[in-house]
Amino acid sequence: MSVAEAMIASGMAAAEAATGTVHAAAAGAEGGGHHSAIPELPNLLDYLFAHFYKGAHFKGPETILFELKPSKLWEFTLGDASNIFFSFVIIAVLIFVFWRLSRKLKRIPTGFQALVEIFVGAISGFITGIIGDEEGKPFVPFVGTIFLFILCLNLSGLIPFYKSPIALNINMPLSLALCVFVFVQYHGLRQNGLKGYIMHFRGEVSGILPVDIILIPLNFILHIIGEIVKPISLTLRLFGNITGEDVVIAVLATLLVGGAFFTAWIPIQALFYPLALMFSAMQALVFTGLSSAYILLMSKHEEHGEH
Amino acid sequence: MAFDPSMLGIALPLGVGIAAAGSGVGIGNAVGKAMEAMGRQPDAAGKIQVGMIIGCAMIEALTIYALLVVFILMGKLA
Repeated sequence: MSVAEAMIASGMAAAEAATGTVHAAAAGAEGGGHHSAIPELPNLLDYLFAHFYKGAHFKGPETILFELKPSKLWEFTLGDASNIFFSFVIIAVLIFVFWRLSRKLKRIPTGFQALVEIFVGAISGFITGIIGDEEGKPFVPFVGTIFLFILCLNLSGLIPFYKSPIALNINMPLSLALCVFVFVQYHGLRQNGLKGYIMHFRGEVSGILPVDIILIPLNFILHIIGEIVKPISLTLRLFGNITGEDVVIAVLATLLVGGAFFTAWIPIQALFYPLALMFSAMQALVFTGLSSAYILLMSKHEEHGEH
Repeated sequence: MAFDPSMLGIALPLGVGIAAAGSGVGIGNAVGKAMEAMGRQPDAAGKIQVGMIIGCAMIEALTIYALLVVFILMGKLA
């Protein structure tokens, strides 16, 4: 089957059912039937295993894009852990880059160190702008690392043959949000003490007893629900945005342009890349901004006498 | 009438459309007010811009929740 015939056949299939050919690729490429309806581009690990394990009859590039069928062994062992593999690759790259950088730090920065210092200064300024100048400094490492990590995870969805560990995988943003949640509660406990932490849920107290009997339990329940919703909203926002981005890229990449006598493929998804860059950075910024806002809410307020 | 999965064919896009309309109104409002504030005091433009971006992302998240429901129910469209 020549490349042109394969493309025309897939183009016609794509014209009938919106993501027909990508179903075959996506349902095969990702382990688990729950992904079958969501279009997704195959990534590097899918290619490797389909090629080596199942012995897919490799007829040319169109085989990879349109006829991928990975083996059961791949689906069971590494299929769902491909997210972990990709995130470990990102972590290894980050650690290596910054370790090399920190070997020879200069007092007057030049070159790459100056660039990194600009970013660190900007992130540190952003976080201390929310939490406060001297109270915010201890939190900059944790929250800044979360910003950098989420930024790299989001942007990795744009790399060819790579899959962002956040896209179509709710475990990754959920674990990041849980890290932030646990840290915020721990910070609240450590700063206010156990009694102060529980009193924190109470809200403002008016001195009138009958009103208090009703008001305090209600406030308590509302505040607890508020605390539980925070990691849920962080998770869903990050997951939804990055999944949407990657799905749009996958759908655009498999669209074919055609007419009566020809069918061609042009990389339309490249037009979406600038928007994806902006949205990735924005989501990382919003995640860290909200985390530092939650930390601020748990810290001591000096303006009210007793919260 | 019993639940016919093809009812999702009109319900899901309609849901996302309504959510998008709501967030369009919200974000338009927020950005408009931010532009106004930046015009009044150009010195504070940086802070206003950061706050606007964060507010827009939060409003956008509500539309993303609707899109997530579409993703979850997309398999039932058969």
